[in-house]
Amino acid sequence: MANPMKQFEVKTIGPKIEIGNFDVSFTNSSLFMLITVSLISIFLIITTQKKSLVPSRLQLLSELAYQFVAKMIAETAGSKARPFFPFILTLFLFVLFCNMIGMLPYSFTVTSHIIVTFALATFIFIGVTIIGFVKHGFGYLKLFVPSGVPIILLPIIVVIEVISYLSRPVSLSVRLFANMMAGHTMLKVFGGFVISLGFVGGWLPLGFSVALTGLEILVAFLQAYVFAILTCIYLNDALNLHH
Amino acid sequence: MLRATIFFIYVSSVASASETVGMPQLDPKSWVPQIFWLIITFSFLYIIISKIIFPRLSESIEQRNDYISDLIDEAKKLTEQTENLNKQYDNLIKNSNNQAQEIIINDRRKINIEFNKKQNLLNDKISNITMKAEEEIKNFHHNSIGQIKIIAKSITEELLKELSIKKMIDHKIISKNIEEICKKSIGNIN
Repeated sequence: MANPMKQFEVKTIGPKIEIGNFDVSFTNSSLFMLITVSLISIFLIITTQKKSLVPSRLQLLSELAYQFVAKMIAETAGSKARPFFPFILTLFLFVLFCNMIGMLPYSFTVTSHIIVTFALATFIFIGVTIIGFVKHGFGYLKLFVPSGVPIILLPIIVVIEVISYLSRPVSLSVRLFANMMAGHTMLKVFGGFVISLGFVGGWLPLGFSVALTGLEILVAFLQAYVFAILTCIYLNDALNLHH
Repeated sequence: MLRATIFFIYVSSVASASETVGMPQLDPKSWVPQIFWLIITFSFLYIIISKIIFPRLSESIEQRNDYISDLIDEAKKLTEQTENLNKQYDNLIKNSNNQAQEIIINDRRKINIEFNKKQNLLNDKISNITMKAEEEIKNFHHNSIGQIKIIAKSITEELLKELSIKKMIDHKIISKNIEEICKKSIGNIN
């Protein structure tokens, strides 16, 4: 049976590129990032070319995405988060398309690599922290002191809050990465069963595979949504300090 | 849960079975190019979305929202206008009804006055005419006796002529007799 982890291997395509001491060669991961970004860009540019008052079906698709993200931001972070709308939209579409393109057979899932999700999550974490400190100064530290907590409990609570705050990038990135990797590994495992059990016994794992594919498409959407909405929630903490 | 369990059993078995692959995600050699290309592609997408797509979409959606709210405002204005017009119309009808009522009452009064005036005039005329007629009747009454006398005299004379008693025609005697007869009959009448 083929190793189900082999699908996550990063292979260099073309010549080795180096900047300074760093190897930044073009890989299959880079290729799928490029494919994802080009697909999103082409899709959005084509669908928004005609700005008609009554939208065409294609225009409606991109407006649907826009309004979906706009609603998400408005419900979690409020109107102050409006300047960050393009970023959230980019993030949501990037993760969604990476996940969805990963569902195609023989493709590569960019988001199934911890380093990619961790880079995104860290960027969000650092950005949100900077926004918080710029907006509220050192008052942003109040985030770690919830109101209405007895003074005796405060030292423990503050420590817990700080730890939970610092673990945000980890939880955000691991959630997406683990979901993607688990799903694709499982698909591969069941696919392997289909081959190894042959024509007689292979039907059952094939059925599982089909069902899992449906589930994974749902997960792909759901994880993109969760990633974006958590970013909005973190942004909300930085913009509207509630504690 | 089931999903997670199957996955972890598998990953642990794979990790122990094949040392060559393991988890490619944990190979630090692949990290730098992935981060590098992620930054490039993500920034490219962000620039496209924030510079081209976002303005277009927000413009068209806001335009539509503006258009819709404009239409709603216009509709509200128009309903207000129609309500005002309806009120004005109602008022006009009420006023004109009142005016018509007033006109009817006034005219009735005027007509009554006119009618009374004309009636009085007519009554006066009628009474004048009756008075004149009565006088005429009285005059006629007075004159009629003389006339009757003349007629009676001429009839008697004619009768006597017919009876060929021409010699007996004595105007004085006839007049005297008629006078007496008249006196008797008129005395009876009076």
